[in-house]
Amino acid sequence: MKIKKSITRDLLILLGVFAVLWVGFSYIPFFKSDDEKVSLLSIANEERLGKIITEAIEKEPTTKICSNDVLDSAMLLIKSRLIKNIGLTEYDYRIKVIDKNDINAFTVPGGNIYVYSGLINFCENPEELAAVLAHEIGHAEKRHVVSKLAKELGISILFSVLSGNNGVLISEIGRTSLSTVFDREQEKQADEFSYALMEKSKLDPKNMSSFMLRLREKYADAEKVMDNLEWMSTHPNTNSRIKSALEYKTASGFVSSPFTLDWTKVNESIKKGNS
Amino acid sequence: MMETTAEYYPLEQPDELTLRQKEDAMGAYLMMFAAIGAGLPLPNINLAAAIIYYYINKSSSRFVRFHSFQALIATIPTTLINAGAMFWTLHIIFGDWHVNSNFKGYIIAAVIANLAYFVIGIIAAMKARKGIYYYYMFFGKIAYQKVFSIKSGDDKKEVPVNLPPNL
Repeated sequence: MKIKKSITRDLLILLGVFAVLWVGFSYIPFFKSDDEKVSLLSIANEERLGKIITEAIEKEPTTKICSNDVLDSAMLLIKSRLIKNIGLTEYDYRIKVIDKNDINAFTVPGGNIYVYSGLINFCENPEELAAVLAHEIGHAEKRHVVSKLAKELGISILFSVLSGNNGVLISEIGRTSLSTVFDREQEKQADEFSYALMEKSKLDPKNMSSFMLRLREKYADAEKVMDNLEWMSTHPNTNSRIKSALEYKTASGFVSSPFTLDWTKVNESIKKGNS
Repeated sequence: MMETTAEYYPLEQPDELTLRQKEDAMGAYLMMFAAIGAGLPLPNINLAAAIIYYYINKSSSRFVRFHSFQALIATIPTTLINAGAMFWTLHIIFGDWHVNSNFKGYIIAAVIANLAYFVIGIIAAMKARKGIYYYYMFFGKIAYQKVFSIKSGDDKKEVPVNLPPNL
């Protein structure tokens, strides 16, 4: 019996040593991946970083923020329906419209989302815009935005921006927020998040596929090239995104409740300009 | 302290062992390193070699049996650890798993475990060559139990007795 005890003790020591080595090395920040390093940046710091970046973006002479009563109330209506259904969130979301014809939307740290007016014009109904916004919220909630910046520029750059105002770095971060795409896995996660959020918000997740379908038609030639390069591309191509949106199964008994918004009026308000 | 009276066969001392026995015992450890080289991509080859070596020496002296059994069972953890590392790596390369700090931590812990196994193996081989018993933590005790404990049926075995012819 004495021997059995001594053998068991030895075994536990050996297993313990291995476990300590494994856990110990896993916790050393040097070995952390970019995604994991993001956890080093608190939400409060991310909010501060977001404030610095949004100020820099909005100060740019080329940036013109679109704002009028019709547009603002429409955006608020869509935003509040989505936010109400996220559940617990650490971000105080701010969504702004930039007057630019490109079909694009991007997220900067701290829950700040920018939508181009070109994208709003491209959406056939407010539900399509909600799908795009839900996707962007997904990137923010999963902290992809900070992770992307940490990967592109290094986490130390983000901390140095927080510790002092460095104009060059801030505009670099602003450019990175705008230009770089997320990786395949992150896009997939944001898509899945958006389908679930749309469903919870009583909006049909298939609005994402109708949006993507028209986007594919618009950029038909460019997409042809992307299809052939799908394996190499880090961005999941439009076809697989359309497919995943169409395949998303809503719970039985799901009934969508579209927005009661005059979408033509919203689009016209953008053309009319700021009030 | 373990009780060794009556329950265990006596240990052979260095001067009671032949050079062949010492070299066979040393071979149990050195053979492992040769097998590691051959089996690097497939960690199980190493374990298979240890099992074969143990069975080849099964009828040899307790000294050789002890060392080959200790070498055999001490291979199991590193084999499992390396198989785990390989499994994880393949999932990252061909599947949708990601390199994270847990993976990096595991790989470093696995490298340390393999280095420790290598160093201790060299020490055990050198001791065995001198006819000395070298007990690994945990595995040494298991091997000692396996090879030296006197099983209840051992003393009842019929030992042939040579008799003169009927005159």
